[in-house]
Amino acid sequence: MASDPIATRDSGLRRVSRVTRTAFAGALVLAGALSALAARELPGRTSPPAGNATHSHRGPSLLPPSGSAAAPGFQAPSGQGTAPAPLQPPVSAPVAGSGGGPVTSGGS
Amino acid sequence: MDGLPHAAFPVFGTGAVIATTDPSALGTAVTTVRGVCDEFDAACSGFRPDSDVENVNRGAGTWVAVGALFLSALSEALRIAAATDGDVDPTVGRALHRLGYDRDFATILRDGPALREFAPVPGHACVQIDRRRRRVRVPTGARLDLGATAKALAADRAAAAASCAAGCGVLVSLGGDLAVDGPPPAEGWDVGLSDSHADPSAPGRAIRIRSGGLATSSTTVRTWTRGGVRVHHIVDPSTGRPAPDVWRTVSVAAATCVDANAAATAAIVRGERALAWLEDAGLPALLVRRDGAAVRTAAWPAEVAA
Repeated sequence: MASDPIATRDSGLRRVSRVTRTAFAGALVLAGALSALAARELPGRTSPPAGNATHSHRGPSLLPPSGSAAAPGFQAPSGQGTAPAPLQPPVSAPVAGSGGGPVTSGGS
Repeated sequence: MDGLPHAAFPVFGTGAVIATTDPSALGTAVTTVRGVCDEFDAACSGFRPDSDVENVNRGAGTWVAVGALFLSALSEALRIAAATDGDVDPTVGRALHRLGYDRDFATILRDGPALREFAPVPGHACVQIDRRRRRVRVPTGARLDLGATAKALAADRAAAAASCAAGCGVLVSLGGDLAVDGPPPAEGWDVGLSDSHADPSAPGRAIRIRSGGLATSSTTVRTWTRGGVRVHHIVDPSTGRPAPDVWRTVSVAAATCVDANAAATAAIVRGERALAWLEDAGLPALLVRRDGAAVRTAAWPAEVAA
C-alpha cells in the first residue's frame, strides 16, 4: 500500500522544522552559557572617565588598551565611567574661631 | 570649647584626638574610634605586609581578593581621583617609593643620594574592580597608595560610628584630618590651623565648623632630602615628582573629611590654579603661601586673630 506522497512530504517538512527549532534553541542556550562564563572569567573594564582626558600624558605605558567596554559581570567603581560625584561644601558654613579647642588641623 | 572632654592616642603613624560633647561618653567614643582605625589599618596600610592594599600591590597583574572595607576605600579613592581630574590619584605608590617614601615615615632615610629619575603614575583608570567576586587588579608595575584618602575616610566613618555609639556630638581628628558628627557644641567645634597638626603654636588661625570635615594639606611636614633637595610627600601625578611648593598649607572645609582632604591635596598639586578651582567648587578654603601670606575663597570666614 503506497503512502500519500503529500502526507509524506508534510511529515518530512515537520521533522525538518523540529530539528531546526531544536538546533536554534540549543545554539541560544550555548551562546548564553558561553557569554556568562566569559563574563565571569574575563571581567572587562570601564573606559577612562571624560575628566581624565586632560591627563592623557600620564604614564600610558602601564594602562591596558583604552576604550575596552565593560563586560557583563564587571561593576565599575564608584565615579568611574559616569560623571564623578563632585566635592561637596559643608552643610553649615564655617565661621571664624578662636583656636581655643583641643584640636588643630595641620599637615601630618 | 576649651572645656570639652578629649583624649589622644597614636594612630597611623600620627596622632588621633577625640572630643565629645558629653564627658561621660568619651570612653565609648574612643573605643569606637580605635576599632574603626584598626579595621582601616588592616585594610589600607601600605606599611603592613598583610593588608589588603599590600596584597593587591604584591599581586599586580593578577586578580586579588580583598575585603569589603578595602573595596569601599578604593572606590572612594577612585571617586576622588575622578573628581579632582586625577590630581589626587591612588596609583602614586610607585612614585612615592621612588622618592624614598617606602616605609613608615618615622624610619624613612632623612637624606640620600640625588633622585635621578621619577616613576610615572599610571593613573586611576588602570584600576579594575570586580565587585561581584570582590577582587581588584592593578597592572604590573602599578602600586596603590590610599594614604591620601583612607585616613580621611577613616575619620568620617569613625566620627559617625562614635557619635552613634556615644549618643552625642563627636569630633575625630586623625593626623589633623577632622570629621564631626552628631549635635555640635553650641558655638561649633573650634579648630586651630597650623602647618603641622602636632604643632598648634604656629600661625594662630582658627575656624569653627558644625558639620562635615576639615583637612589641611602641607608641604612643610613629612619632608626629607635627596641630594640636598627637599622632598615632600604630596606627589603631582602628572610628573611623579613632589608637587610644586606654591602653598605651604591649604585648609578646606567640606561635607565630609574625604572631600576636604581631597580638595586640600589637589590644591597643593594645582599650585596657582588652586584658588579659582576651589572657588568654582564653592568650597571654604584658606591657602597659605610659602612666605605666610594667606588667601581665602569667598566661603571661608574672614580672619579673626586668635
